[in-house]
Order: sequence, then structure tokens, then C-alpha cells
Amino acid sequence: MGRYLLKFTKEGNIKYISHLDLLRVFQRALKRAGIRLRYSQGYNPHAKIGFAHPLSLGYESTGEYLEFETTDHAGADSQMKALTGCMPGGIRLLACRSLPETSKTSVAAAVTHASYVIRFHGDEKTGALMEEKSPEYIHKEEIICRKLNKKKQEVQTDIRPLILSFSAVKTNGSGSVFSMTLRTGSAGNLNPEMLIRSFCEFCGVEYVRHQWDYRRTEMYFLPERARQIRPLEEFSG
Amino acid sequence: MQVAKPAVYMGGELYSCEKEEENTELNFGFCFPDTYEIGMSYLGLQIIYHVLNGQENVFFQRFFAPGTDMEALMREKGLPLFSIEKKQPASEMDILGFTLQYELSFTNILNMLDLAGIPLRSRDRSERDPVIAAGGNCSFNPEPLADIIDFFMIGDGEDILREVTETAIRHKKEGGTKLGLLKKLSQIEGVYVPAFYRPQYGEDGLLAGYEKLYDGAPDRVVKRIVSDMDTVPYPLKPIVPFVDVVHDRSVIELFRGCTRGCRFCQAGMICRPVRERSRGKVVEYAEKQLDSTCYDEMSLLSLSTSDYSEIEPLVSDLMKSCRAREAGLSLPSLRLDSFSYEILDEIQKYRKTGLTFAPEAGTQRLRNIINKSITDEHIDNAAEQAIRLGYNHIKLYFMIGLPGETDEDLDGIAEIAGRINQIYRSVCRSMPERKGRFQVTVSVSNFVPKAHTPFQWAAQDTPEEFNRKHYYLKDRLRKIKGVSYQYHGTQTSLLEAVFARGDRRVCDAMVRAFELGCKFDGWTEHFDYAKWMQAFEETGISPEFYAQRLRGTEEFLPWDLIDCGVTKDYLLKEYRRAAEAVTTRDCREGCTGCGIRRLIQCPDYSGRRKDPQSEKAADSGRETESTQR
Repeated sequence: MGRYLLKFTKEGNIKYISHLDLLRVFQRALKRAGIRLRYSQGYNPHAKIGFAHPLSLGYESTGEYLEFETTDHAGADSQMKALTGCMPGGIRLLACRSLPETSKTSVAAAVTHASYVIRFHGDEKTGALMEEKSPEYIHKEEIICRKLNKKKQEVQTDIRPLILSFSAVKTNGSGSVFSMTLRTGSAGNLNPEMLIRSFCEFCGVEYVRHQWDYRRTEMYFLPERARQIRPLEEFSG
Repeated sequence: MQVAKPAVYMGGELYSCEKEEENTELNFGFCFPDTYEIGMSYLGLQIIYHVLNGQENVFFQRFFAPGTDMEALMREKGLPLFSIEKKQPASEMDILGFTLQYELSFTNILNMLDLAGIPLRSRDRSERDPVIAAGGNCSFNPEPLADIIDFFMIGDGEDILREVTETAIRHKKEGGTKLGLLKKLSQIEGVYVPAFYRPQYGEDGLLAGYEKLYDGAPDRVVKRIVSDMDTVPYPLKPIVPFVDVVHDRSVIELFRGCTRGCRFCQAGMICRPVRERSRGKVVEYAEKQLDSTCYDEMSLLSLSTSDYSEIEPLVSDLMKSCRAREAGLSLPSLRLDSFSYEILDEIQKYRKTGLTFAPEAGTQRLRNIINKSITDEHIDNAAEQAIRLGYNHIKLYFMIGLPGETDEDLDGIAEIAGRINQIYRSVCRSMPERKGRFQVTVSVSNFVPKAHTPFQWAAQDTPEEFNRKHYYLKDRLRKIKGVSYQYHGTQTSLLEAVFARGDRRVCDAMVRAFELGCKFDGWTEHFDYAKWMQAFEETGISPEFYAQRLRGTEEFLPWDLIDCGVTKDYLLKEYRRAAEAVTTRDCREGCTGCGIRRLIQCPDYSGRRKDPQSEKAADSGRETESTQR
């Protein structure tokens, strides 16, 4: 038996396939690579495999994570090597590490933060205005957003505590780029699109989805007794 | 996202094909007139993709009907219909071929041509436009689309497509007009070029016949038949979609054709004779496909899977192959009179969710009329076995509006459902461990008379009569506990009937309906009956004339130009036997003289009665005596 954590990218056209589609891609790729997944022992057995955190449809990423358990116990390097030729274009495998077979936490439960790089490619003047306004936006004490709760009622919520960092990045032309690290996971979660909408509203700019490119760059966890979050790549169960 | 499921337009799936342009001598666009999720579930697409892309000089690309959200965006941005493989405009193809799987997809053909910027009617297209082709089961009555499609391919596609593309490549090199190409194509067996035939109508408004406009065209177009299923190409590396399509699994075709002779069934008539793939090949293909795709489910396809001559050993072979690859095996289209339940039990060790039976009619008399050779005893036994094996849900398929149907036949449907409930209760009494909720679903569809069947002359019920019967049945079934009732819309059934047996005149109504905005007519959320009625009204086409009129047996039928293998004499004989509620045996038990032997030798069914005289008689196409079961 083996338990592994795989880091990979999702870039280019493959960003258009959904979370569930991607899971199926991995299941078939693992099978093609001759890696046999472990199944739960239940009435409806399911493979022990899952992502650290879902990536919204249309987002690219250079920091995705997949956790899976196998029946054999090969080294992490050989698993990654076997899998490499079986992936569709746009998915590159970056790293793979073995995790202890028995563990208190799953990767999905360990995630606390994710960082994003988001590019605006509308007109330059609007971009420049937003770059200029970004420090003022993030220095607000609270950032109130409207959202729908589970009963489809509109409620107000302060997203400021969910933002670890937010800033404009200096680029050489080609649009305005914003970088941010946001709370992610079951204990607190902020969808970057919600932040961008609120930021647009703050700047007096209309939010048009296809003027924005979203890219997740990394996911993080908080090691036991640590005070600083670390990239999920270092997660060891 | 601006559109739902953008991945369906993306391409790049495992085993999809991208070719170098310099080697391509012919660009063939395959059009499925429905969405990607439905088209990618169609085995025919995978077979043709494999056959044509296997030719080095042909590039075969896929086109699907975009979703309405995508279409709106494409029209707004002026983006033409594009291929999945290279995002190439459809108008750049040499040949654009549509597959005709169901009548309710016809307006999508018009919509796709329109999106491609190609004029709808053949006569309005120029030499620059692609040649528009069609094939598939609905092309056995090609007339409703005769003004749209330049040539049809009738019957099995594998051989004819290769001949057509070879002819087209030669023609392209030599240089010549579209008309010249169509003349050459009309020499290929199975090709129908409607422009070479002009329909003649009598004073009574009935079709009187066709005037041939090109002497070289055949008098009748004979369907193509692939004779050897073991040598015909089969996709061992089918395209594996990223998105969850309707049938997301590995599929192996066991055989083509069916020997049962149900009188309502078009596939059972036009796909004759039965041609089986050998057991060895089926297992080999199944293993290769599972290995290449890594699907976790495998399914078998044919008109009546359990009629496969070695079904039991085959299933146990396949069970081993699947188990070794951690895949499940599923069997569709089971007949309840011929299947071993132990095998079923073996296959579905885990999830015993539901089992489906298709008695089609509620009484023995009506089942005799339609030649569905199932008795009440079969149904009861099958239900009892299924219940004993632990199934909690039995689904029953019926048709209403069949020729000769009375309300007693509807009562019969309710009686079957009620009896299965009683069987469940008595099984529970004898098996204390058998408990839990039990559900019977009665699913009823509306009878649509189809071309090339013994019921091709029959009248369809009016939508009002269908509705009355649905309510009648609903009322009967309400009184039985644990029975749920599902039925189909009656308005789409009327439309289906018009195009299933329409002549060339109905095309105007179809084009008008499209102009009014009709598309995706098979989708409840898009179907607009009022617009269709407006289209019929404006074009002076009476849907009743095509759907509800009892045709005379002497009448010349629009599809009489097409030889489907089964003779009109045989269909008429079957029609008359139906009127007397007399059944005709399964032709594995002895030839019934349908006429297919004029075209091809039928397989030698083991255990079949050997009678050299009747075989000889059948070979010459004469009537042979058929016995009543």
C-alpha cells in the first residue's frame, strides 16, 4: 500500500474541463500507467483519490495537488515517472512525495490558504486606475460583500479577514496583474472572483468575466505548532 | 464562463486525430445534429472516425450542434460552425456528412448548415460550397431531406464511405463539377442522389412515382451490407471524452440485425440479416479497448443482445476480462424470454438497482399483432426470478396507439403491473429475508409508424387520442400501490410520424419551422409545437395527411425507391397477418422469406430446421410458408 501527494499544473485549454472531469482524467491515467488504486471497503466501493481543493472551471493553475492511495508500494519518483506519459496536454506533473499510510489528516483537510495571480486585460486606463486604487482597497478595516446564503437570501459578509495579502504586481505591459493569498478550505474560504468583483465595485469599474484571467499558483497548510503557512508540497501527513 | 461546459468545444481528447495538412487530399466533416454529449455516445461516430482517419489522405473531423448559449455567442461574434479537431470552418470541408439517427434532429441539420454559412437547399448552393451528404437509419426514407442533402448513403457505412471518399479524391484531382461528382457517386451501390429523381404526384395529391432525370442513376437504390463482422474495421482506440458524455464507457458491438421480426420495429427490418462477430473477436476487442481507454465500464451493443448465439460463454469470458481490468460489465437490451438469470446475477453482484423488460403491449392478442413473442407466463416468470434475485425496481416498456389496439389492451398493461406487485408480495411471504421498498415503473411511448415495416401503411393515433389513452392508463395505474407511470409527449410523436413517412413536400414545412426558430425538437425545453403548426399552416402541409392517414396497400410510397433488403410483398404479407393477429416465427427457426437473401446469404443458425426446398424457394424471393408459433 502507498499514499502519495502529487503536484501538477492545469494550463491552456485543459482549464475548460471541470473538477469531476479532471478526476476522471486522473483515474484513467493512473490505470493506464499501471498504478492500481486502493478502494474503500463498502457497499459502493470508490477509489481513494481526491484533490486538495477544487479549481473553478476556467482557472489555470501551477499549484494543484492530488492525493491518492495505491495497492502497491512503489517509490514516489517511479509513480510520477509512470504517470508522466499518460497525461493530456496542459497537465504537467511537478513533484510527487510519499505520505505516511496512516494519517490523521487528509490533504484536503489540511489546506488553509491559496495564492492567485489574476490578470486584467481590459483597457489600459482602467487597469492603471485599479492598480492605483489597490493599496487603498486592502487597507480598509472591513470589506463588506453581498452574497447569497444557502437559503438564497442576500446576506452581508466581511471578507477582509479572509485576505492574507493583496497587491498589484509591476509588469512590463500586457495588462494589470494582481497577486493575492486567500483563506482556502473548510475553516474559511474566499473565492477570488468574489474579491475581484468587490474590488471592481470599489474602483467603480464594471466586472466583465472574460476580461480577467485567473491562475492559482500555490496552496498552503499550517504545520503543527508552526506560526507560518508553508506550501502544500511540504505536507507530510 | 460565458458558455456552459466549454470543454465540449475544446477537442484534444485521448485518441482524437490531428493530421498534417500536406497529406490531406480530402476534408470530410462529420456532423452530428445534436450536442457533443449525445454524439460522442454514438458508436457509429467512433467506427467511421476510425475507418476514414485510417485513410492517410482523408482528414475526418467532427462537428456538433452547439448548445443554445454557445450558438448565441457564435452568431453575435460572427463565428461559423467549426470542427472539434482543428477549429476549421465547416464551409472549408469537401464533404459534410450528417448522420440521421432520429427525425427530431432534422431542424438541427438546417441550423448547423446555417451556422456554417451554407445555403440550406442543394439548388441554392454553389460549386464552392461543400457537398452535403447523409447516412444512418433515417436515410431509409430520405425524401423529407431530399432538397437539402446532395447524396445519401443507405445501409452499413464502412465500405461505402471508403468508396465515396476514393471517388471524391479522384474527382477532385481530375477537376470537375459537383454534378459530375454526383453522377459518379450514383454509380456506387447504396448511394442515392435525390436530384436525379423527380417525384410525380397524382390528381388525388398522392405520390404516383418518380421520373428519373439521369439515365445512369439506378432504378432503385439497394442498401449496403457489411458481410463479415470479423474483418470489418472496429475502433480499438476510440476517442475518450474529457466530459461526462451520455454513455461514458467502452462499447463492443456483438452483431447487426435481428431475427425476431417485431412488426413495428424499423431496425429489425432494415438491418437484416443477422451478422455476428465471433466470440474470439469480441473478447479480443473488449480487452484491447479496455486497455487503451482505461474505462471502468464495458457495455455490449446490438439490437437484441441475448440472442447472440454464444451469449452465456461470451458473458463469462467477458466477466473474466473485465474483472482483471477492474471494469464492470453492463448488458442493455435484454429479452426476458431468453436470458439466464444466473448470468445476470453474476454480472450485477453489487448494485442491484433495476431491471427493464419490454413487453410492448398489454395483451396476448395485441402482442400477436405486433409479433412480439412474449407471453404473460414469460413476464411473470421473469419478474419472479428478478425479485428473488433481489431486484427492487422493475421497469416495463409499452407502446400505445398500436394498430388494432383497444382499451382492453390498456387494461392489460395495468394488469401486468398489478400482477408483478402480487408476485413481489408472494415472494416476500416465502422469503422472509426479502424486504425493502419495491417499485414498478410503467413507461409508455407513442407508436410511430415507420417506413420499411409491416406497419408502414398504418395510421397513427391523433394527439387527442394519445392523450385520452394516457389519462385512461394513468387512472388505471393510480389504483395500484408502488407503480409509477411515465409517458412521452404526444406532439413530438406527431412530428416524428410526419418525417418518418414524409415525401419531398414536407421539406418546406421543416425549413419554415427552422426559420421560425425551431431546433432541438427532441428536447422538451426547446420544442415549440405552436411554431411547428404555424409552419405547416403557412406551407400548406397537412401533418394529418402524413401521420394519421391509413395508406392504401396499392399506394406508391416515397421510400419505394430504396431497397432495404426486405421486399414490399413480405411487408404486406406481414401487415395482413397482423390484421388477423397471426404471428410469424423467429427466422432462426426457419426462413420466413423476407427477401434479404436476394442480396446476401443468411447465417446458418444452429438448430435451424434444414429444409432444402424451402431454402431454395426463399432464395428466389418467393413466398414460403411460415408457421405460427
